[in-house]
Amino acid sequence: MSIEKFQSGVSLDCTLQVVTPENVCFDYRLAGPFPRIVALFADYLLIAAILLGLLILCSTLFGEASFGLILLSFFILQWGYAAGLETLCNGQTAGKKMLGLRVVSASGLPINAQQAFLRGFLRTADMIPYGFAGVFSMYFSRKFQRLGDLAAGTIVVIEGKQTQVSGIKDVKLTNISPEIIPSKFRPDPALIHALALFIARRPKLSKPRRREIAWYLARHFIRLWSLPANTDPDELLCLLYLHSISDESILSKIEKPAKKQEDPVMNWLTGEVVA
Amino acid sequence: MKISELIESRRADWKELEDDIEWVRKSSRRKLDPDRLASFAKRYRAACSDLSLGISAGFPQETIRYLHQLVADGHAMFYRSSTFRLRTWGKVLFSDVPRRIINDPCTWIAMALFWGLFFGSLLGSSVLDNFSVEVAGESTLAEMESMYSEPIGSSSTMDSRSMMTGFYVFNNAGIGLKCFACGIFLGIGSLFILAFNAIFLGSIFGHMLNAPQAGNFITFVTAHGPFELTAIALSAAAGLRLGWGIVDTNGWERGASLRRRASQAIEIALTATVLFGLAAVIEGNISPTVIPYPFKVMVAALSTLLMIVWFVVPCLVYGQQSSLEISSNET
Repeated sequence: MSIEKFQSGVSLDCTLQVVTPENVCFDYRLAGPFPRIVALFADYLLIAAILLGLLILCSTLFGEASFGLILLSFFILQWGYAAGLETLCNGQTAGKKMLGLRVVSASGLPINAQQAFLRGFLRTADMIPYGFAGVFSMYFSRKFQRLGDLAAGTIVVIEGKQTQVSGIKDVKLTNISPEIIPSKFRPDPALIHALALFIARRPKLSKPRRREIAWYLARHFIRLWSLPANTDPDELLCLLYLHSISDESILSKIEKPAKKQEDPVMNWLTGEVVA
Repeated sequence: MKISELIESRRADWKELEDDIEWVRKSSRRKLDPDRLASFAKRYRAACSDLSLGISAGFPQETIRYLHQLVADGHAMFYRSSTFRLRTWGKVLFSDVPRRIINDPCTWIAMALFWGLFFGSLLGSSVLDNFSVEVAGESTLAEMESMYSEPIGSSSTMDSRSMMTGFYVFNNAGIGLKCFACGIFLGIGSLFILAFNAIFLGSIFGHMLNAPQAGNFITFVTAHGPFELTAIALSAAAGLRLGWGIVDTNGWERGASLRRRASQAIEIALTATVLFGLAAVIEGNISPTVIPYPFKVMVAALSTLLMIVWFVVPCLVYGQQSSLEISSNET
């Protein structure tokens, strides 16, 4: 992995980047075999429950003829349950919904009926023998695709829950005053990115660990600005981050090209073009 | 403007985009109000530029993650695929699919293999004494003989007929789809299942035609034979089409070749499933009844004629080449 790629925010996790026609990349988190196997078992349990319910209902109503109906519904559920639900519910069966998984095309678009049925039918081949074909295929394909996914051109992604943005988290700064940052100081984007990543992971770390990690970056500023040796490195980085996201010059440096690119499209769509 | 202020100012817009996405997801295509659709487009594209701005300006990570999800959802709704249209499906069903199946060498390979092995083992079991015993086993043959020992239709009831129809769909169409799915292993799985069925059925036919129960046997199998045997061969043809796409890429990248052939293969597999269904209805409701034999022959002749019309007429009307470029015999 090159440094540029690392800096541009590409994560090392199992994600798939999709480039939209708007020239923006967004990430999908790919689902590995384990949540998918759990989802599959949940679906099987549901199918078994439906069949059992049908069996009880039909055998009381119709007698012997009901077995034909049961076998027919078994056939339909066996081959069409996943495909039908994935077509109708935008790539989710009941089990997938439970585990927060969704099937999408490898291009990031919703799947269509043909793709849903292809991957549904080919599940049989993935199950040979005892699911090994599918797991091997997931292991060797870069996007965790089983054979059915390869043929249909689909991937299974983990749905992030849509959380409302809570704004920038307030960090309590008790032992440090904002004046210690020189007024001329202008953080560059790489530093802001590193600070943003630290702030995001910070709540999961214990206090000594925060200080330990923050020390590697903070010591440079402590030396540079000749701060007292007992400055809390964690608090220093939080302060730096607060400083950088409220720095007016940073946004104005970056904002301009982005605005220029998007304006014609937006104006055209809203009919604001005068010329 | 400060980053924190910018995020605050954009947040209302993102919330509205969330609502828009939910609105587009829930409403049908025809009911979409064009004005709101235009504002959805505007908000979606604004969110796209917010995301790229956010990445380069170092927005807080949770905001970036939220925007990733928002853009992904918006993208999925904005560029969602077209919905079901009856007219295009009519064209696919009665023009494209039959022509593609007829023009596909896989169909003819599967047909030749099936009928070759079927008649080969039929002949083998008629001529050689041990052939059918070796293939099917003593107990299966004995079971078959006892199954057809009584005249057809003597013990058939309404209930048993509907039960058997369900069973034939479940069993036969299930075998057909399995046969198709196993084609992903370079087509070998399909060919194996096809060959097994051809040899097994052939030797049973050979044995039963020479058994004392031959009359009952023929009376039973005639009516549904054409649909069922064509369906088995087509299932294997579908699997072969699928698996052969990995082997012969025709200049495409291997994965892309597989996906391209897969969409063609599933048409054949679904055709086979429909034929299995028709065969099951006949096998459950006409074959086991006391209806006179000439009528059953007529059913068989009619179903053969139906298939010939469906396969051949589109080729005559619209020409050999399928209009879609995924017809198989381009080089």
